[in-house]
Amino acid sequence: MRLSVFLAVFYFVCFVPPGLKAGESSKELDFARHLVNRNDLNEAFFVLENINPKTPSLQDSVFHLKGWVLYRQMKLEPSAGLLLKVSENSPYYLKSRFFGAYNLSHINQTDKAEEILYGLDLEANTMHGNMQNFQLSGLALLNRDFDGFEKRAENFTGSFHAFASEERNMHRHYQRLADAPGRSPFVAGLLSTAVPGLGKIYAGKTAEGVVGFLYVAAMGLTAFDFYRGSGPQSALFISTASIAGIFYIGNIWGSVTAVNRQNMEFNHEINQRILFDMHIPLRNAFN
Amino acid sequence: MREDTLFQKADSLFEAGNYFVAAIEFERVYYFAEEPLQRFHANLGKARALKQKGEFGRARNDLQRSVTARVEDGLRFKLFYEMAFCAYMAGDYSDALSLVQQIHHYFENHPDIENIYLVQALTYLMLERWEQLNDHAAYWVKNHPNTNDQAERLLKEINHKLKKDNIPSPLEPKTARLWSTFLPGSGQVYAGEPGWGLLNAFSQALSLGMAGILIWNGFYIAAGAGGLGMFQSFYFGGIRQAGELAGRNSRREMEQFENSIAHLLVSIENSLKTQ
Repeated sequence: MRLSVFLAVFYFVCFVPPGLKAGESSKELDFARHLVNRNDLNEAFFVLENINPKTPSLQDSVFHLKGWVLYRQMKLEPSAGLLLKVSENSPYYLKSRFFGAYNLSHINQTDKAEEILYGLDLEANTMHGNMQNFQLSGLALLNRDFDGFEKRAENFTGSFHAFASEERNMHRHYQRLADAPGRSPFVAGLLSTAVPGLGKIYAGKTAEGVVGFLYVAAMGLTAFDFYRGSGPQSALFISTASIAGIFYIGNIWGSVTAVNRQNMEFNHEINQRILFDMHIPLRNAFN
Repeated sequence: MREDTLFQKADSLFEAGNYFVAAIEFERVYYFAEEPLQRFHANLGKARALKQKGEFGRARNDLQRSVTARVEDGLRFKLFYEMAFCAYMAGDYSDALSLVQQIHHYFENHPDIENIYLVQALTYLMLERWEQLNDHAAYWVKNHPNTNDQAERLLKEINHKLKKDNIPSPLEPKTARLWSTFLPGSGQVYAGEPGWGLLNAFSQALSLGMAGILIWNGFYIAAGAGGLGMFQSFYFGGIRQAGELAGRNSRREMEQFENSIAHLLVSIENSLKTQ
């Protein structure tokens, strides 16, 4: 008996690696959670960095909490990296997968996000199964895969409080994307060649178009006035006509870029709305 | 009593200047300690570390956790003083004033009550409550046990600065804009920038002159599009600039005035403390 106790103590002293013991690690984890709840995120991360987890479950908890802290700090890429390390046995597995995939969606890594969501083996009629379908529908919209979205949307039930209204919103985003006029930079340039500013109005920048027209018209009329009064050789005519020409060409070029700018703004705005509607259900379901 | 063994690590980190980890260690004591008094001390310690990091807002919020703790009056006074100080430093002057008023209510006869007087005076200053500041400064200097000639002299200086005529009257952006609407450049002069005023008035006159010459020579369209177009840009731009200059200069003048008073108030505190 004495020998076995001695051997146990000997083993513990010699072979358990330095750092925190399991019980202490668990206490530290509680303390880190307390810091996270207080929004002391830098401090929480520091504490978590110094935990040396002795068991796989503790390791999972540390990965999850570190990923969560980084997610709260909007450091989405490293957050996803840590969340996706949480093993399948952990009670945080599902939450970590969903949030990891969401983080990746937010940083334009939609293919990876899809892969993670497809990898979840969830029953279709459960809340989590429906959440998986909903998140994949959001990803389809982000990828502008309308067929994919329509297939996913067929499975929307509207019966889960956590994302019933977001399902409706997703339909609206789809409709907006489908109805979005495909504006062409070439047409915008052509329109502004015919009537200065018209290309910008076509691009959806009405105020810029009107102002552009006024500038070009004012300079053009001034040049015409000097032409009429002093003739084509006068310095006043040449200088104002040159400026009017620069304004005219600049306006055409501005119309071309306005279409690209407008398309980018539209896509950015709608992507933000899609991501927002993907995010809210996760917070509702896992908080 | 504060159990020093509990605080050994946090204290040594604080002494070593590692305030980030010290704050964590104080929070750890707060979290794990079972005695409310130790939690109270831990909270004060954490606030001390956060103050060193310049995180006054966080320190103020953390200290609020100990408001309901049952501790002796001296410690409660210290807690409220720290909260008022941190609120002031965080720029939340109305919160600082509310805490100062609570200190007067709860601790009027406390032997260290004069410790709060500087924070109180500075709070009045930042809230631009000139009369209250004047009365408070007089009460502070006259009733302080260490009152002295230097403090009296500094008080007189403050009294002089706080006379109605010596307090900078705020320049109203609206007035500046109105001046420039009717007399180009005058709004800039009102805002204390006569150079900008002259330049703006000259630009407007030049563009109008140019329009006149063009009309004189029969270039009516050019006069309308070029000369008058430029004139309206200078005219409306001048009105907007006058308002912006008035706002900016008003803030700058008030900041200088407040800094000079703050300097005098700190000098009073130093003279009373060194006696």
